[in-house]
Amino acid sequence: MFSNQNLENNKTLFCSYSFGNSWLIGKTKEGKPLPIQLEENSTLNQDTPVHSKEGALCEFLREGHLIRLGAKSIFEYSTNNVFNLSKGSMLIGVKETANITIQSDFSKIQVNGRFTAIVDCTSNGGFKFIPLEGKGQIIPEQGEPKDIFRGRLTMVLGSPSKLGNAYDIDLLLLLKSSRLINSFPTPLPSMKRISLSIYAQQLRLKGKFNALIGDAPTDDNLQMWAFGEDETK
Amino acid sequence: MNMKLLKFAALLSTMPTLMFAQQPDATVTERNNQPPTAVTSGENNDASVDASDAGAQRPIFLKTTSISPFAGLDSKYLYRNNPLSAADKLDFIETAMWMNTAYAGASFEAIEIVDAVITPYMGASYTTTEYLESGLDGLDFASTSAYAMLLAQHSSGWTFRAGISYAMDKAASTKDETYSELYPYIGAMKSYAVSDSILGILDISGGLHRSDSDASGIPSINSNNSYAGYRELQNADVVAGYSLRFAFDKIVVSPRYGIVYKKYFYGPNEDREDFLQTANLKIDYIVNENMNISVFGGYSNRDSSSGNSNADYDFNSADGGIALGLNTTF
Repeated sequence: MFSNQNLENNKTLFCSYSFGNSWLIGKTKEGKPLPIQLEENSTLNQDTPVHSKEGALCEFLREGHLIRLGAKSIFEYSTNNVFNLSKGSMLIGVKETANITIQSDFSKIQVNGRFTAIVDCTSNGGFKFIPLEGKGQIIPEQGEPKDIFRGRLTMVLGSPSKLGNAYDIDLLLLLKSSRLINSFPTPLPSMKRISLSIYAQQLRLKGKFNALIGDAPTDDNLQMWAFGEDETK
Repeated sequence: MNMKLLKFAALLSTMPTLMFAQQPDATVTERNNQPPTAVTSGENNDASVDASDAGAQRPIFLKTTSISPFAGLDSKYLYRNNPLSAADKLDFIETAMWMNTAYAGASFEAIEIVDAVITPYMGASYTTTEYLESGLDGLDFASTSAYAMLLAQHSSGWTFRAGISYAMDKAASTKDETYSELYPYIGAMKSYAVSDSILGILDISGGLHRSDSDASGIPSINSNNSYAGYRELQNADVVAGYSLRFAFDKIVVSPRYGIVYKKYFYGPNEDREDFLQTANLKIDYIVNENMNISVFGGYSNRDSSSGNSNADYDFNSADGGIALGLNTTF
């Protein structure tokens, strides 16, 4: 199922880092599930789901693409740049302009551009798309495309998918608190551009809400966790 | 006769010379030619949250206008042991000083390109400098300055700037303009984290002080106005500085060492070269995001080649004081 580093095939992901327990779910000859523990320096073949357990983190690379998977996540990819996250969270980095598809259990978007973004699955089957930097467009199955804008969390809902509400979020706080950014031995290749995004956001920052965005249990509900007094700048 | 009386008598005996032949050195006056750091750095308070995989997602609201004005007041009360930046003969004159600055400006919509964010700034300030030692009050002056600047934050961490500033000094007693300059300049700054709470900042810049000045202070024979428009203080400078910024909760300690090289071109100052060294320490107490209280101290030393004249421009000066800063953005 996985072999040594295979750099000849630039469509195959290579596991550059693994922390904790993550499992590849292959199949036996009889078609039964066959879990095998993910190892560093192995390749992750197409259409092979990887499950990360509690506390686990792993990173996959291929030319021009970087995928970081958070804990309790299920991820697989297939041909034509389709990345499927059916549970959990991931960070995706696309170095050169490309057309990729990101999908969850129910929802799907195309992203055309060069970017670094966090994808966070929600209970309603959709996901949050949070660009950290980059340029390009988010193209839903239904409705108008939107430009990638750093720090703007966009809800992706339903099937056929549409773009829901968008919220500007504090990139500096996200950067400081995200394990997908901070808990890996090597910094993100786009870290300098992310820092620039934070700088640009801080220049335009007027104030912060004392709340944190949580899960979306349904398409009509988004959890907000309030804290402290109102703070404005 | 005690030492204070001796100094006072000496001061009185030199006063006529002092008033006409010696003025505060306009070439070492601090001038506002860029916005305050609090405006350009985009510093802000953060909530403290636990780490999660995706990270904390705190909603914010952004400015909807393309112009972001800012304004502030700075007030300094300080002691300076050589306020006229004089060489041996006058360097015994020491005084308390009161400096008040009002400033305002605006940043305009940032231009985001692939690897940089470019922000235009414009601003102006007005500073009054009062000498509190009796007899020196005739040297009180007011400075007006204005600037336009482009500041480019590059993804490498370097910040580049280019701008032009105007500055003008006017004597408080006679209301005469004693100095004015246009200063086109370029600069670069790199800041990096030395540790979690210490920032290192390297800053280099250079420019041309295209100044008109009443360098001698002697009224022109052909004019009722003492301002004769001399160019002898025109100079090109290169400035380099390195500072550390230690942040401990609401207290920020900032030591800085800087060097300035100046070359002059005209009149008795032709071929004059100055080498100025400064060492400063500033401790800020951040009361809130709009107010800070500081104590500061510094030492300056100038080594000058004097050019065509026999004048001695070398000096040593030390100062220390307290400051109150108020600022706001809109």
